[in-house]
Amino acid sequence: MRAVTLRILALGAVAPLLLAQTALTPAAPETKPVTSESLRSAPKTERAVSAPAALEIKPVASAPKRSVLKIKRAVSAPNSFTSAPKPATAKSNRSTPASKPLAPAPKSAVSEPKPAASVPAQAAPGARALKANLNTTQPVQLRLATATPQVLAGVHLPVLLPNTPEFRAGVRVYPSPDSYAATLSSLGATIEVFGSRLASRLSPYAEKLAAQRLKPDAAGYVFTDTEYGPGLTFSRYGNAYSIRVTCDVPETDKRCTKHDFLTGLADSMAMFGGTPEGGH
Amino acid sequence: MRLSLNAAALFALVLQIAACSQGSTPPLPPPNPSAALAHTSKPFTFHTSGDLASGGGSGLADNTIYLPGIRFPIENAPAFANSQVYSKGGKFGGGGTQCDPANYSYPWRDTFCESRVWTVQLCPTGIGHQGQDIRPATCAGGTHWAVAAEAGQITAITAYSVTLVSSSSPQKIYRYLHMKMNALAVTLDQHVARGKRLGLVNNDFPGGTTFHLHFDAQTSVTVNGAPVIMYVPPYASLVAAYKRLLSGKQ
Repeated sequence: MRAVTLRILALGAVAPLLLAQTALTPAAPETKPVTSESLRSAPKTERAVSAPAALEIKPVASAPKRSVLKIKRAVSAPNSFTSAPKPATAKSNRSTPASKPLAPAPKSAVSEPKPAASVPAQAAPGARALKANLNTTQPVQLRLATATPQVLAGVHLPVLLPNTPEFRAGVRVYPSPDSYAATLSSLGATIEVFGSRLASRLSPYAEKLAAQRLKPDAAGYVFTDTEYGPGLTFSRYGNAYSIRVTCDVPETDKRCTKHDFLTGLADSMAMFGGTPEGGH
Repeated sequence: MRLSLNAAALFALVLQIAACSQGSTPPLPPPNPSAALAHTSKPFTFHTSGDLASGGGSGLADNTIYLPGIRFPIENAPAFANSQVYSKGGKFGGGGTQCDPANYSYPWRDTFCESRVWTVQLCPTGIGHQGQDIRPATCAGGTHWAVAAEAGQITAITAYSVTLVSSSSPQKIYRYLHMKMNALAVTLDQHVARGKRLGLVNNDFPGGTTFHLHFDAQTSVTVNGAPVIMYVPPYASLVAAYKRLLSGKQ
């Protein structure tokens, strides 16, 4: 993985809100901290009421005894993303990711992958903002200061990041084919974003517990807070995403004592690259 | 604040918040490097996954190895996985100091899901501690190295934590807390090999804490068929890794 600093380069055929936001973005990194107030400058969107996403999880055919699953959104799944124009990089022949070598998995984690199964429909996570930010004809165009612009194209899932001036100016992205990480540090707080197209399987007992406890909010966010700061995770396009905030002084920093800042980040997320339909 | 906390559990635990955050234990006694010496030659034993310290709540009885093949995150044995709150010197440890020999002896204790007020979906109560606390060989800060559990890249360094993202798939997100942050052996963006020294186990945290490494891991898992990124229980993986360390088969 390489760390790259993302900056807006040019305007593509993106959502009007993104256009407006991008046009006002200074090229130089900003030094002011990310705050709840600054998040308000991110594109405002409304909750989507589109049909929930349907996911189809299939084991990797070439690795039948591994716990690593390739998670693929069903092509026919009716959700806000499939109904939208696909990004320029998302060609139809990418709807079925090719099998690729996968890392060995623990025997005890799972013995056999489950056969493909339909998954009950679920609320579209983060839909209130993602719908507006992602129903675009192509990803937000970027200039990569320290790497080639194609680096994110090698990430076989949509690279979602908070679409705020601070992120666009100073986020560090660590791409890999099946996942990515991104980090922004801002005066006493560190924001980390993760995305993954592969998943491990929980033990039956653990999955049962998690299924009982996993209660997404109206936007589809599941909170995963710690004493060091808040976090949330959500599913989108058959991939897993998460954001967590760590504060230098978590007990008093409002970015960590309340969810407003975190959910503001999540609400602003937009696609900055990657391939929406997975590998090719 | 949209915290999804169990109200009853929250009420019962609210008074523990400060202590359970691992940071507000009584003033630390001076280090006692010799505290563990008498125990280093004893055979390794451990309580099973989910068997938490008395008073520490309900654990997750799950022996699944979610972090296969990891290198034990402290460079050298012995190391002692146990509670920082419900052991000697902890807020609910029944007195003593953190350097009590009992804290530097086997058997290990799981601390995933130990009583906290934070939401952890995999815990039986829905709340708890999201990682494993591990004391190094001796009750001394800035002495024992924490090392990379897997090859990967350092993607974040905060005031008291280091994030290591694995190169393996699915991605593992390891977090190391309470190292001596002004003397780290790694820098942001650095690629690290498995076993690479990251920093010295210490007590860095606002208000201080005991000398220990908090180690946690997140990865993508499927729940109800949908992928999410969650904290997974590391205890069984750590037991396996420690056995490899002891046997010289790292």
